Amino acid sequence: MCRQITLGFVPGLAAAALLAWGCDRPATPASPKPAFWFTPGPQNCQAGPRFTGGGRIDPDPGKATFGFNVDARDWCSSTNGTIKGQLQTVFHPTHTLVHSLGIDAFESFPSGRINPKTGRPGQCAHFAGPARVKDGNGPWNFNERFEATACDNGEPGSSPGRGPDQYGISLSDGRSLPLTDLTGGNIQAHPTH
Amino acid sequence: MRISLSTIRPARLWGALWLLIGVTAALAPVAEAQSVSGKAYGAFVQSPLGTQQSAVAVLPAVTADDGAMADDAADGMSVPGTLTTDALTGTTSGAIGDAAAAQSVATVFNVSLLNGLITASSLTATVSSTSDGAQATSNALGSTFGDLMVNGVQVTSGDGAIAPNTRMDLPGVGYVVLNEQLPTGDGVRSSGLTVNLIHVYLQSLTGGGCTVLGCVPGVLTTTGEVIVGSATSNATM
Repeated sequence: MCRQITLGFVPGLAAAALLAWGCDRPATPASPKPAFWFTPGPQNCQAGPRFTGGGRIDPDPGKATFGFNVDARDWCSSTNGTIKGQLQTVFHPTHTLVHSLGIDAFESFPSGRINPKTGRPGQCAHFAGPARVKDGNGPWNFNERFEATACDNGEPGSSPGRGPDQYGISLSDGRSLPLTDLTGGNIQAHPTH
Repeated sequence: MRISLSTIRPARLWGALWLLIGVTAALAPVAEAQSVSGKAYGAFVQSPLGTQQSAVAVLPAVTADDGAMADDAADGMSVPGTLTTDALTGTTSGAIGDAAAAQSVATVFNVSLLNGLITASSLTATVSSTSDGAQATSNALGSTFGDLMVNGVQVTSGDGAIAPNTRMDLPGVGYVVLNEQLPTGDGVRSSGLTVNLIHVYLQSLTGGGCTVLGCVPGVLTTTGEVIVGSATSNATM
């Protein structure tokens, strides 16, 4: 069973509200698993297996830019599938760079928002994996994990103002950015291929 | 020399056939392939001394029903007398499915150009392009300049946007175009956009001079360029 938890990206500094998703199943040192973990297969890919995106969010406080590509067709079509793709995110206030080292968990689900073009709910991807992280020009920390959520709620992904697409990310060290409307860029779901 | 009818007629038939094939091919609509492309980089310097570029991400070729991403990063860049920066990043991603979509982002921190003639605390270039075959659009929303100063003039305070293709003269140096936007595509099946947040055109006066017969004006010649914060995306369906 999963639960929603709230953390801070830069505890004590940014005090950003966070959105992360966790499951009750604990990680084990011998086989570290993401905070959430889903069994491969179509049951966890209701909103499609492929997403790409890039752009910018401006949570309060802070600002982040990102890009990603995730292809979980193999994962979504079998019980032992793999996931292709990568992710990069830059958190501007602390010059923090997050770079994925792989993606090992994926789910997709309908968004809480209606896509005005289709009249149907948007599509969200939630994926996770190991990552390397560094702050400023400091050393890389190769022992992190990330969890990202990206929602395609219509085109264009960012209208003047905010949204409708959304992006958020959390790290295993407790830092996180909430699911936030894009102020630039686009999230694109490719649900049928 | 005599050529029999049985020789001529097949030759004419073959000729007519090839002509028909050629005309048909020429009149057939050219099917433009689905495609996405993207590029982002932190900074580019071209001068008579050479060319340098940092944090360059170029989207690999993407086939139909597939996607890709590329990224690059650097701790900083220094070209003495021309450019210094802190961290730079470039990210570009794209995919083809029901629609073609590409998006690119470049970020640069603590920029100083031409010994402080232009400074900024941060630059964020963001572009995206999408096409579903019936409508294709691009935009540079989210492209902003942090605390931009140009030749002693505060252009943005905090993180602010600037009107596309804003030109400012740089006496003795050339000129700068801020938020330079270069669109491409037909807006129906294809669309693309490049945004160069700071594009300095370095110019020098060449030729000219005075003799006993009179004076001839010199000509401003572009001798180099500096681009900081560049992102490009293209989508065709």
